[in-house]
Amino acid sequence: MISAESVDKLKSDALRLIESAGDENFLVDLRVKLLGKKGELTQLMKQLGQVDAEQRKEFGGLLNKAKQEVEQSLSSKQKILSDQARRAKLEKEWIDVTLPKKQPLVSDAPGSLHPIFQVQQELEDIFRGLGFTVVDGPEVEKEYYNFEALNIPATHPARDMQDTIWTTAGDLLRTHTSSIQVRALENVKNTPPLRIVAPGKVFRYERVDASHGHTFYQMEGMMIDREVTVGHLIYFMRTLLRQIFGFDPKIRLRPGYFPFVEPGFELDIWFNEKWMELLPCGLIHPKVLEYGGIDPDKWQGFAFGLGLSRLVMSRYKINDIRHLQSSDLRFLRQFS
Amino acid sequence: MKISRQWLEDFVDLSEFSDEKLEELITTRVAEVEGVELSGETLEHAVVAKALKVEKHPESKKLSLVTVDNGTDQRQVVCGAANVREGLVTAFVAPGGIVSDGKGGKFKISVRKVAGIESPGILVSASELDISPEGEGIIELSEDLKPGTSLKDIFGNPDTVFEIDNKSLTHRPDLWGHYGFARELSAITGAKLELVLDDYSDATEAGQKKIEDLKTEKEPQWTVRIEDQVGCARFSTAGLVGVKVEASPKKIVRRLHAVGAGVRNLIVDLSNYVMLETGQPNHTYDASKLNGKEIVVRNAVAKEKFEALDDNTYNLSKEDIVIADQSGVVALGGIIGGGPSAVSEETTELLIESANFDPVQIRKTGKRLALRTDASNRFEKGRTPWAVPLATLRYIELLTDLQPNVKVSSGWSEAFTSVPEKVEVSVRKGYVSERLGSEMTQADVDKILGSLGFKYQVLGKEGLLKYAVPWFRPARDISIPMDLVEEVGRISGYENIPEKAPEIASSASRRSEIKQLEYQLADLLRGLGFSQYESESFVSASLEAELGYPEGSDIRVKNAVDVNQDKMRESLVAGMIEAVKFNKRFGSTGLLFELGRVYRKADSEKVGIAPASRAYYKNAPAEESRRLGVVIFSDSKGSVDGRLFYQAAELVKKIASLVSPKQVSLAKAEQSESFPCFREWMHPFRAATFFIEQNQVGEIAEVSPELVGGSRACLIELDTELLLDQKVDREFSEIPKFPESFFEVSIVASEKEEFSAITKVLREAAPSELLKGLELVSVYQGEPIAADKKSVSVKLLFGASDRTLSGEELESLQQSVIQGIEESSYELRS
Repeated sequence: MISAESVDKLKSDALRLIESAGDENFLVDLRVKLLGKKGELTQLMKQLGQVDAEQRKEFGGLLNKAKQEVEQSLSSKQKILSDQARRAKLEKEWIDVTLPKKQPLVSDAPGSLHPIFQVQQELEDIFRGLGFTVVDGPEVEKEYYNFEALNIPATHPARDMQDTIWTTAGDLLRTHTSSIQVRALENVKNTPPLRIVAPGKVFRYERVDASHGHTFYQMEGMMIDREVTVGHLIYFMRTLLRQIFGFDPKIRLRPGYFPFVEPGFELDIWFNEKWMELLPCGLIHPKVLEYGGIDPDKWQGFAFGLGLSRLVMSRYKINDIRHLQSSDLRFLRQFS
Repeated sequence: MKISRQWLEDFVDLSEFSDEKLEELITTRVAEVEGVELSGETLEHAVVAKALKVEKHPESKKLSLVTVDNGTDQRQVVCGAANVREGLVTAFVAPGGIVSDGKGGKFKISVRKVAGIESPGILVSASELDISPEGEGIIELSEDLKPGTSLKDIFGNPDTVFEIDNKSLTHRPDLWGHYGFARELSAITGAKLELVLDDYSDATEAGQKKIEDLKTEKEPQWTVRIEDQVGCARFSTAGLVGVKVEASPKKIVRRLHAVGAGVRNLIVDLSNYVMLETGQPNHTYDASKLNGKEIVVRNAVAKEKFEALDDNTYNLSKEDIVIADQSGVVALGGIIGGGPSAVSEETTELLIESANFDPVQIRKTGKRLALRTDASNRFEKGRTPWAVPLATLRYIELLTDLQPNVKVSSGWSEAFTSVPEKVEVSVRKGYVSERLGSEMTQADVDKILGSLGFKYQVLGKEGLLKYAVPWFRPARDISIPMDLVEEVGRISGYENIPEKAPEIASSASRRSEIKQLEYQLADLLRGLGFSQYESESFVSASLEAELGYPEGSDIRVKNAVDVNQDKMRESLVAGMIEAVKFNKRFGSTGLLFELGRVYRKADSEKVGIAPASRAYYKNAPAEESRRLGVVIFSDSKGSVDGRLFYQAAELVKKIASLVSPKQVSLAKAEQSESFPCFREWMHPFRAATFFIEQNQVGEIAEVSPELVGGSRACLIELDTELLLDQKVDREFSEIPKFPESFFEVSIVASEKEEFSAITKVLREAAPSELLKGLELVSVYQGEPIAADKKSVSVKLLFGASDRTLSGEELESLQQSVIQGIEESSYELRS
């Protein structure tokens, strides 16, 4: 008949057996013996119905506790044994990692560079030729550099234009490479001129489909000098596009709204018999210059943001943005 | 937002501009036109027709055979409408005509059989005519109309609708109505505004007079109070009696339909119409359903309930702005009106509300309640309180025009608690055209600014020009001289600005060292047959934990797009393993690499250490390391004798040679907190970290086989900045003039003795200045070597820069090496 002692004894015997187990099969059998349909613990459980209510409560508690302990012990022992077994198996594959064994890598694969990487490299070379330095900045960014310092205060409706991915620490993943702007200004201190481009990943809180990714690539460009005008901006953009396309594309500038430039533009190019939005740009807003510690009466500048992913997709006719973040060799090898 | 051309033409004559030209002007001067469509195109194709005879369709209960007189002939068509009856005057479209499907699409009518009977044309509904959102049954026209009359003569010509990209209007609250666009087009084309709605704002004298007149016409019966600190700058009411709730006239229906608004009845439609025209939201209450004669604008009480006219009940929170009468909330300020006080069929008295609300608060409330309306959308853009009277005055004007019996029952009453400051911008003469880089004269500039409503005066002797910003443009939009530059630039057309090379020295810049190295790495690997991939910066935190990157210094994502992407990757390994698992389905071997960043919480102790490439990372929240990840995978046979591992080890030596000629060494990967070290994902007996001299740069390990089931993979992960740190400037060293000499020794050691331990003994035994190198010759296991031992043969190279080593010297070197071995735990194999 069930008693506190019988439960206790069953438990301690079981735990001792588990502890002494040497292989996993033994544990499997033991589990059946204890917890199976006709297992010893199960049998005791069944006897609960025959004792009076008060005792039933007491024994029930004891039994449950015992069952829990046994189960826990079984699974932790099982883990130890399976780790041991795995290790023993892998130990047969021991190699001397310090051995300078000649084992050349032979492959007939052509090898390939990622299309983003190729186009980025090409653009960097163009910009270096125009006197721009290629820099990069953090992808996990302070709200300040991504919004505040770009003249986008917390209450600004433009924050809604870019759905942001936040970190649990209250920082964010940059929503545009423009976050480099004030960092660059701080870095030059009071000694412009400055000409930089900053390519890299940007992130948006966006459902992923063929034309939307939560990750894509941009390239920010920025120039600070004395007496910079809209005419200069147009000159640089045209020079840039001429080099990218190898001919003078038909372009148009139209008003575009970005709080960190004034005036702000969208630059469209005539492509496939229609206007395609390619390049937001503008003169740097005086407030942004001030955030970076630059006197807007002495220095002006322009900034632009190239949609690298978009450029790559249109150049190679890639129809799904998700390919750009995949490791599919059938995709990658097309760019050898 | 949709803009109707016919509506614009109420205000400004655009007859000399084609639709294409208008689209171009709007896009290049004002805001992006995303699309142009024709509304009511079917009007061109439809004529009045009279149903002469209606018979049952023999095959279908729902269809009728209708003989119609269309003015040209009489014919029988099939019709499915329930309202078709003899004598009905309706609209007919012959085969070849275009009909709207009522859902935004269009189709061409052809002669086709309907349930077996041919129908040469169809009778159409208002929605098929594309003149109304409603399309229950075929349209019912006045019986006086003569069959054959074109529907154009009744409803007007098709209208062109421009769809404007809302994002490009974020900063332009003045453009959220047709009048705003008309005002811009007047400035752009020089055409005069024929109806100036600015005269309906009390920012102008004409508007002030209109309000005074309204007060005189009838004393205000209502009082308005705005409680302190509530986000409402201005709140106004006016009352009307004698209104009749009836259907809107066809012009209003067509216009509302053309711009995608719904249609209900004149009283409600007009409220919408006025908003779409002036941009100013407004609301009409059934005045008989309001209690008391005072309206209070206040914050909601926490958990206060509000029954809106969309039939939903909202739980309010204490920052929400509500409009309340004596008995409670009657509207959610700036967002939506209440259900009980809404206009119904029986309504005869109206209270018109026009007000101004704080954009931030409206956005917050709208977001919390997931409730955005045309009104809240406009208030979110930050409207000016000066526009408040526009809606009321225009509403009264249009309604009394249509219903002459309507009378004002309560004159203008308002609370105006926050009068915006007048904004002025001062610029130096010539500034605007200088910043544009254009040849424009100051007179040209002033003319453009004048046409946009900017008035100026000249200040002092320096010729400073002070421009008063027009009342309808908010300070957020225009407050600094550069804002004037934009106004002039866009209206004059950016295409008219000559491009100009800047007068600055232009010299090519160098690639940074780290970029240079990454490009070299990519080229090296590509040359060896590797394919570069890019993968996501996000991983699953639990997956990375299983791989051996526990929580601690990781960067977690709060609002992950995908639950399996809740962490910024701490290593490229998860992506590399994924790459193996994905690609093994399509081929048994593969070579891949990624150049990417990994992220960890910034270590405060490291702040201040800023390598040249890190100048732009000051106070960055994360430590972002640049990594190279290399994947070599094959089927399970590929790992025999650790082949993949040794291939990777060879590769690492090639990689290291990009920065340094120094020796690369490997050591068994050990447990540690920091990269590189042993991690759970690694095969415990095939994992190493590697060094250039004494400096750790990265790790190589085979992936624990169960993680890439069926395949084998070896991964390399290295930190490219650590690699760059090992870069040495190359320096020529004299090519040896004297030949080197060598001898081999074979050592018997226990089978798991590492080669590095053996070479360490040998190096210690041989004088270092003469030892030029150690080479592995072979490793042998088997007879006659004991089962748990192996024999390792090593070639030792010796030389001196000033002589050829003599036989005696070599002999003694050999002796000391042998002695060293004998003193060690190894045996010399003879």
